[in-house]
Amino acid sequence: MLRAVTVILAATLGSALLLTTLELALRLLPVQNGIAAGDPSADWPAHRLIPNVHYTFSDAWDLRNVHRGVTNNMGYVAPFAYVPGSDAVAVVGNSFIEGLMDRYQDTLQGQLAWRVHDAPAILNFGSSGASLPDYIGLGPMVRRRFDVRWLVILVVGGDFEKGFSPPPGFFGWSAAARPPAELRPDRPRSAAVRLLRSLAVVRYLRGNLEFDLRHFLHTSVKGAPQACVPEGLHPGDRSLITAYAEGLPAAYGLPASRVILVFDSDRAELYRSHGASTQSRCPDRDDAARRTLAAAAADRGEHVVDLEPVFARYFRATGKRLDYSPLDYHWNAVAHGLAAAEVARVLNQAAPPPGVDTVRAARVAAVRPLRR
Amino acid sequence: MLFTSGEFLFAYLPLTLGLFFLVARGAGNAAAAAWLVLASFLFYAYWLPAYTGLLAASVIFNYLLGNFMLACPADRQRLRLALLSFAVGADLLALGYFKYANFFLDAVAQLSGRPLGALNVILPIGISFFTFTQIAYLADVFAGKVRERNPLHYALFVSYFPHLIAGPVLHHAEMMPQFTLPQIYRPRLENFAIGLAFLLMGLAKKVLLADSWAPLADDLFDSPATAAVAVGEAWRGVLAYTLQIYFDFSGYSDMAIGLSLLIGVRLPYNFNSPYKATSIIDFWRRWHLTLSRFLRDYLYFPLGGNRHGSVRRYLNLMVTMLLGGLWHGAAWTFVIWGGLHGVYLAINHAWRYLCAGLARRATVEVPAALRFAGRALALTLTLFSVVVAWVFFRARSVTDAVRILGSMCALPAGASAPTLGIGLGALVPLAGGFAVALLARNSQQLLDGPLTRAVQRISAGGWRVLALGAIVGAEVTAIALVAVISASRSVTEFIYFNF
Repeated sequence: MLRAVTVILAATLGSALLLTTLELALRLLPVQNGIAAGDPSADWPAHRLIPNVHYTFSDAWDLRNVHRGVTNNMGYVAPFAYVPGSDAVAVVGNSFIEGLMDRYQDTLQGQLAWRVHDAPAILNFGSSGASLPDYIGLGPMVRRRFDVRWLVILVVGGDFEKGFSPPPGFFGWSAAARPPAELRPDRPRSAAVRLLRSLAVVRYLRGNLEFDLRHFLHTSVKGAPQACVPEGLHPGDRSLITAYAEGLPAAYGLPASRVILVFDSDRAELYRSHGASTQSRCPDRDDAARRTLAAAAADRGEHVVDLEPVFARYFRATGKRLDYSPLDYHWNAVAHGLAAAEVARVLNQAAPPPGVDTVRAARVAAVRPLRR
Repeated sequence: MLFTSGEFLFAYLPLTLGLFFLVARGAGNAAAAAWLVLASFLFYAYWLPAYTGLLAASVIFNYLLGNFMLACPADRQRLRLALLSFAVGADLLALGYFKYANFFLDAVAQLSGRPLGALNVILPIGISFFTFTQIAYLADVFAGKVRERNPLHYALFVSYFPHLIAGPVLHHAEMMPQFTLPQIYRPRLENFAIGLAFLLMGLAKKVLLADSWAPLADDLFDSPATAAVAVGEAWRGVLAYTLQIYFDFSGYSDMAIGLSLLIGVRLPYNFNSPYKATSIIDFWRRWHLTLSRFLRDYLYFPLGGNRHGSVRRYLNLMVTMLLGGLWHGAAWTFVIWGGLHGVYLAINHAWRYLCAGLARRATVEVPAALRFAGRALALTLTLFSVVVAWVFFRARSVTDAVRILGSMCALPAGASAPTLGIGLGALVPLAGGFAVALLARNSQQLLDGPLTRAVQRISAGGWRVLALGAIVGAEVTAIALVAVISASRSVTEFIYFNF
């Protein structure tokens, strides 16, 4: 018995020694730092990052694609503070819009700032882990704080299905609610969690490796392959999408003509086919839902920007990729630039909103340097 | 269940080993062996429960047939031969049905020009491995080489979870006697320290090296047949696959050996730095050693080996390698891969014969620098030949393989190939990978050398329990970390799971 206890104690010691060494080594390396969810508040119960933090981003186990930046007063990735009450183009999306893997000036919102004539402030509300219900759920909160003139939403693969299992602090699908999204409440972080977050080993595991115990203990399970959905969508899914397209402009207090939905393409298929195809060989439930959303939004007079032909044309012409694949399929600066050009074309062609002569002043007011 | 997965490393493995030692202590070694058989079947069932019956039936059938042969009087040689033929025939029939039926149907359809329907058959994982180990057992029973007949040890030898899915191809004579040793039923810190070190090395090879190159290789080989591929892209993909398959399979083998060492059972080594080979003959003495041994002992030698002149030898080599290729999978690409290696081996033997003749007549000593240059050239040529053959091994079809080989020679098949270069970003890791494969000591050199010596030194010291316990703790933590890295990616199976 004594021997067993000695072995366990010695093993714990060995483990602790290795972890300490790892902690010291990782502190010298650019592991993810400063990218953590802020505590929810009464006026902003949804997920956002801790405000006013200098962060370091790196990807995967080998710390590739290192970027450094800041979160602003609202807890979003932007090098300027968001001033309540200012006119805004709200750019909403998930990690593609959050853009931790890109320089801010290369992102869609960063490029819109100089591509759009007389634009109000371009405010991004991108959060890693967000999905379609978030994009609509954020509406009332954004509307309360800002005078939203335009809404730009980036829809990417998985955005529909991820909405059925939102993490705390994110909106999920709710067939009963109108608009059809409901917030999964989050809790303030305890002192112990804050302490753990300060450890480089923990940041490496949670940030770079996206460690999740449940997933870790089910990695051999592949699950049934996704069924191909070449034709229609399940009626329940369809009604969610219809209600979504219907409620989206109202959530931000906009007419439908002021909403731009940007749809990403199947870039993996584009590369696999060497530019020959951008259509999934086996469209799944998510593909069908996004197609349905595009059609429903267009029917209601919302703008739909399909990036498939844009990306395909670029890839065929240059052979250059639009992301960091094959290891990471998030957009690179080129893809953001192409998307920004398409969105800017819609914004620049549209008739100026009422009171447009005041927007430049508002933009100047909104884009204040971040408090250091 | 994958060896790299969290549920295997931190649920199945500790539970299996813990109960194994507890059962051995409380109920005896036979009960512990029975538990290990049961646990091995559970390991298999986790993948597809329906085929666990096939594995069980195969074990029982071959054991019974082996026993019937052993029970036959020595003068009933024809009856024993009939039993052997029946058993091996049944094994090959099962293998043929599950693995090759659609391949043969397709071949017949192509030859006859009449389309035949395909069978809806799922390949039972590991069927090639457990079929071949049992055929070897039966052949040795027939040859009178089998001593151990314990049914539990036989079942364990076939189903033993560290090797069940993707080898090494075990030989009963090196495994079954180990299950009789009383020391394997007692936990030993030394076994844990060495076994976990080997497991960690294998895991690191698979997760940190092989899986890192997999996307580059997949990118090339999974592109459609109509796509044109630029030269740099083709070389990048093929070289990435060359590294991927080596580190994937040798990593798996290291993990299997390490897992088995946890209970002190030694599995045979499967690799010995194959890319350091300076000839194809040398390559096959370093690559997938247990399969090479099986093919040599149970195919090449029975065909006559080199005993009937050089023409028969080359013919036997070719037949052995063609069947070795087909063993890997039911596709013409594997047959061509085997055939290429058969041709390589024939050329290599002919070259050696020629060189031996020249060396006998030579009167001048070759300078050391020239010998070194010759070795470097031989290594490069061998590696190049192996790389070319890998294109067929990995490609989805012969047409794809030819297209990729054409691209490697700057002969794009299509008109508008996007001109993707190899790029520094890919070149540096590839160069690093080849440096490890060509220059570093391999895992068995480490195990047989410094690793074992270090553990022995610690064992002899006064702080044995404390020091070995700390090493085990650190190893478990490191394994957990690499497993988390593995889980951070999409599921990547071991390449040899498909064979």
